[in-house]
Amino acid sequence: MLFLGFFLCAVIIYTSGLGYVPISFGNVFKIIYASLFDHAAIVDHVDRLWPTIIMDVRLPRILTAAAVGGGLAVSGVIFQGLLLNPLADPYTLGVSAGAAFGASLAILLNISLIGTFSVPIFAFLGAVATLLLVTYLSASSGRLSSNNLILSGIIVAAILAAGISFIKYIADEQVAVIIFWLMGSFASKTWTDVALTVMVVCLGFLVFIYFARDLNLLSLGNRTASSLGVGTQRTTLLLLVTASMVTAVCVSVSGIIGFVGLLVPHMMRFVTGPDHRKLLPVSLLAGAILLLVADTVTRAVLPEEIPIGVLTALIGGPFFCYIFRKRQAGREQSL
Amino acid sequence: MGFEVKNISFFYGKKKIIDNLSIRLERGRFYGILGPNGSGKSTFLDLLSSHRQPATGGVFLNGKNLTAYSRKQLAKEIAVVPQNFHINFPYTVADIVMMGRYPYIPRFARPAAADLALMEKVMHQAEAFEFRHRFITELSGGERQRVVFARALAQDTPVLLLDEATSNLDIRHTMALMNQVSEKTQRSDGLVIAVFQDINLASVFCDELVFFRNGAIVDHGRKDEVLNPDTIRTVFEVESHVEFEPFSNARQVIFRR
Repeated sequence: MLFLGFFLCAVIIYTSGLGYVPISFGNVFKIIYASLFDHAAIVDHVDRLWPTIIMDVRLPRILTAAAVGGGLAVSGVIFQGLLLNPLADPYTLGVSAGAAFGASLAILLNISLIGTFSVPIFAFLGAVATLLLVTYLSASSGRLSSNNLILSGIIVAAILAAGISFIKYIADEQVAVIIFWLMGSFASKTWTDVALTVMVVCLGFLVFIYFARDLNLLSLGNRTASSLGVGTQRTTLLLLVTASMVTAVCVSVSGIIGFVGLLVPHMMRFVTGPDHRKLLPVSLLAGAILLLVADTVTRAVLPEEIPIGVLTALIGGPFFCYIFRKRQAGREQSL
Repeated sequence: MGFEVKNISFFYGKKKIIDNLSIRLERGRFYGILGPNGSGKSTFLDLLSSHRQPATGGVFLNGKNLTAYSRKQLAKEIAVVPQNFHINFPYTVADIVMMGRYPYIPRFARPAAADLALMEKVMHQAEAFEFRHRFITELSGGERQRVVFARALAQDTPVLLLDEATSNLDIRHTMALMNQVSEKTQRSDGLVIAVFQDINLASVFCDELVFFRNGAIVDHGRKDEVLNPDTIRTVFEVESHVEFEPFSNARQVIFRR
């Protein structure tokens, strides 16, 4: 875990140096150190432009990518544990469809009352409204059961997907903007985005780790959890809402980035086992590293920037198939 | 001391599952609950364990309403072995058994030496020790049931609720489990309430039998008094012959086609 933490810091510094203007690891470190501790003297010898490139252009983007990656990964852990379903991900309850619908609507109607933030805010509102609707639908039978939640999530997401298709159909010139937003991007992120995502992801993570042990019990089913001292309804609802909030904030700053929330918890479960007290922190760090590396690939390695959501699905999907297959084969041999 | 159940009713939607039911269940005894499918036996256990709350009436444990206990306090009083136990995540057997100690271990603390010792002891008792490092997802139904039984023992509670806890076990493991359970009632003044399908098994081990039908208690008392062809007929609508069987030292029910 400590190793992953150091690795994340190293990756952040290293990737800050990559791009159109390459800057060495040591210089990046000095620049960050200089601006953190107000120590301008040690960067006198470097190019005047470099600190601006690092601090104002690259670092906000990099930190947002890392925070979103970590946030999606831990939300994935929570959803899989709560819904007793290893196939769940942060988007299972229709949060992504709600956010996408909100964003599409904002782009279509060209709403800009709140300036550049109108699309993220609409995305966030869409996500939260969807979450409320889904929990309302599944709680109408009196209890929150995982099957009800998944079913309501799928129904609401299907309706919203049709709505998005309709918006795309009637939008003429904005259709490209909508599609690009849907595929996700970290381009031109600011320190405001960083502050927002890092804060929400950290808060969410604290809540999750506090309830990590209860989550172990909940992942064995409600009856077991309640007989071992967990207030199932309250804890489930609290974790569900927190995880959805984290997801909604991530989606609203970055667009829809698939597979991180599904893939990272699975990969990490192979390493740490399913105990959430270990799985959560490791997933947070691994998700951050994974999405950061993926974003760096689209930003600095590929000749042309492609949407990050496409990249994560294109690389993550086959990779997941591979490890899944390998694991199945390994299990058959051991039996 | 023990349970005092006063006039409880419970509904699923509009359907009445438990119908104005009252009973006292005393410490130091082993109760067997018998009845046809859908007669409310499992729901009754859910109400005793406070997993569900009765619509009317109340369940009192040691003189105090269950609603007045915190979840954590209840977890130190009542352990449950549920009927179906399926799980999608590859916890090891030792992980699962350790979860029985969660109510005693502070949230961010490591298990103490005493917790580990108890865990090892109950795994031996439930004969789950030899596969303690295997994944719960890879065990057979009977092995899984023994793991869950070990977890309930690890909870170290005066009250134990079993919902068809031996349904997947072979006869040797069934006997071993039942012997440990009845020992618990005799030696440490525990209270065990178990739902059975097998009337004869219940008769061998239980002190008292409780017969359920349509969410109400038809008959209840010492097994030698209530286990007779009339009760079997009223409860299950089956003709039978009941006689004392010296080898098992209990009444046994015999059926014919």
